Amino acid sequence: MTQRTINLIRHFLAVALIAAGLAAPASAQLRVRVDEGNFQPTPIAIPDFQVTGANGELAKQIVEVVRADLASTGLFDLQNPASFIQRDLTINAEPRFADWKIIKTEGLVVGAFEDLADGKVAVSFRLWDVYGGELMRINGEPGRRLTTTPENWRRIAHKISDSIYQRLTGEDPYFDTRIVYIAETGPKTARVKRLAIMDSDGANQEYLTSGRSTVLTPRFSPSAQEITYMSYEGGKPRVYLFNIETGRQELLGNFPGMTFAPRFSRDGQSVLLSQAQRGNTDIYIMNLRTRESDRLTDHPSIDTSPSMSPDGRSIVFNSDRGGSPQLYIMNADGSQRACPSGGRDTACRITFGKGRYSTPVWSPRGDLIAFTKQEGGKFYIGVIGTDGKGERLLTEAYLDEGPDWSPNGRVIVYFREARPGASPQLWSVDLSGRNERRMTTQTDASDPAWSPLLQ
Amino acid sequence: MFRGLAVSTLVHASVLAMAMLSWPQPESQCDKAIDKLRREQPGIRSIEIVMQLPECATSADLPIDFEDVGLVSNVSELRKAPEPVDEALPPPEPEVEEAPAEAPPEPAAEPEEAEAVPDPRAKPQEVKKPEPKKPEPKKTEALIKKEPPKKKEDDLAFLDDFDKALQDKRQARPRAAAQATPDRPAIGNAGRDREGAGDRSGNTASLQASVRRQIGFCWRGIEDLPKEDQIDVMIRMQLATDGSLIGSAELVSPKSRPAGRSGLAVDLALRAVRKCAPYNLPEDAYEQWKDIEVTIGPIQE
Repeated sequence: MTQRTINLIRHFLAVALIAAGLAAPASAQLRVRVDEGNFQPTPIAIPDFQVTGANGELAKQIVEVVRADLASTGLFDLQNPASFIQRDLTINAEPRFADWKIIKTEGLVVGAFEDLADGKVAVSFRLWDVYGGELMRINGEPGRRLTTTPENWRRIAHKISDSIYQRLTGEDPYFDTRIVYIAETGPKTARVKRLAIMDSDGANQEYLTSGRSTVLTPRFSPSAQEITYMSYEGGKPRVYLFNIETGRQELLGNFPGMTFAPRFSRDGQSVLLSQAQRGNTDIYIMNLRTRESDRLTDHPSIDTSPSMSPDGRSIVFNSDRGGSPQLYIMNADGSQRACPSGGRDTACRITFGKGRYSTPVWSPRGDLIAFTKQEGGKFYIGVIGTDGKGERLLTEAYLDEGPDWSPNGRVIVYFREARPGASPQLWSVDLSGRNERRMTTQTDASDPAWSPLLQ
Repeated sequence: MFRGLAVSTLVHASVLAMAMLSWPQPESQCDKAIDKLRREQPGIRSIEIVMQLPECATSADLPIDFEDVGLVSNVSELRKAPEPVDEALPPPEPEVEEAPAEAPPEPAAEPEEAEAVPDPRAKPQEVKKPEPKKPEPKKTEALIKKEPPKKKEDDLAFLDDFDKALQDKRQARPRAAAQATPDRPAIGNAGRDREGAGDRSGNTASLQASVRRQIGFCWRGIEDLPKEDQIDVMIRMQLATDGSLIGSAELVSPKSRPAGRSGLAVDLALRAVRKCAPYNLPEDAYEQWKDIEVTIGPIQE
């Protein structure tokens, strides 16, 4: 055997050994499963917008509303602009991701504000994924540009917040909305209750009625143009329709008895309400076009607070037919349905807990019903599945009442009296039970209702 | 004669009926005013009508002009940050990404050829001049550069490089480990003690538990997504010996980001894996954790 052959064999063996050594671990892959997270608000950075034109002040106001909207969700940690390292961001350049990774920014909003020649203003913005080092598309687009008149600047800000919120959470938006409520003033013995409206963040508060007659339980129509509520005008509690734009109020229907607890149907064509007559309270539905009404329940018990499902096929309401106020679901056409507790009936009970359940409201998502619960001297706002399962109490107080859903079904607004004798204030809570926060209003406030997204 | 009368009455009646039916409906004040404006100023835009007749603005009739011009500018034309000459830096090894979090901002701060330019922000880091882009992971770069065999034409001499590579690998690691501690700046990684006693053992179960715990800490969780959108996301990641990510972790399943809310589960999983690096794992078990397949998803019933 030649030396060369020996060398060949030697090297061959060496290679084989090395190859074996290198190859062996390559197929061993560590497999891990993670199913428990750690909820932390996502750090996002919204630097001041680049400004073209003279209206720097307006640009500042817009970015502040955007930051406040996103911070109010409790899902984001709005990073302090003083901590930003990169100061030369422009709308058309990639950010220096390293500068943002250092301060742990996960989402970066870069915006630019322009004064346009025709007097309008335009805001453009992009959203960057810092750790992925790439642009986050908004509805498939690499950015968005919104234009409007300067007076409308708040709506631009809310629409920007809506885009960012939607892209980062996957939820439908809800900032470009309004909340109607009852503004209360005066001593407890002579309370003045007026219909009031404000933006979802508390700005632009206005009174809609004079306060001459007491107004209760206002509710928005799906078009956001009309409100229905109960008023004691004329001394008798009755349901009215109020047109926000024209300010006109009209009595709904010619019911002989007292009518209250109105709510629009999901298509806005009808109003559900309760009528109390000769000691019995039942639920009716009135078609707004034909002005004809149908009776939906016919039971000696008190049936009230109806709320329709998003698909218009079912109605949840409060009834004491079982002995105490509980929640029931019925088919809108009055037909029988299979009950979660077994059997079939025209109205199926879904709550069975101790305590009294009232003011049910069907979530716009269709899967949950929010309610007020009273037990052991305390009040709670809770949610329950439409099959009666998964009851969760989200808040607890001396008095928490009257929940209503944001249009994306993520946030619940309600009113609270913190202690005996305290005045009512509006509060909101996230569906997860987190982020309970007070909504500031100029006066005491109760009975809130959330509008759909404004067109 | 009566027939004529009847016919005449009928004709008159129908004419009157038609006239009444086609009588114009009463218009509201606003409708009238808007029509007038439109006649006087043909082509007037909705927004101008609103500005002249604010009391007639209803969202349904006169929508606010919101334009969604998606392309602010073509993404492909986006340029990188103006200075400093990121592009002029030597192209990095394709697999290696700069160490996140504690990587000093020196790509932003100085031109790559300046050895002596003092950068106020660079104080915490010592070693970066020779290889400006990668302070600590330079040992990783050394490793990676050497692994692929250098093919040479002549007979078997190339095999010598294998021997050399093996030896270098053995030497590089203890050397790198020794260097790691003084180099590593504290920013961003404060609190992560690399010499954590609990992670000493290299067995699979404890490695899995450690990775699971670290990623779980960085993952926001998907409990608030609807049940059907809480999907499992499988990600493959390759780590360098210091625990940093090589490349950017890749999505294995689903194959691409789905539209809808389940896309969010993918976003959150990828983000958790990326922002959690560098991972704190025992170097002597590197072979076992250099390639990890992690599945992030809801608790399985």
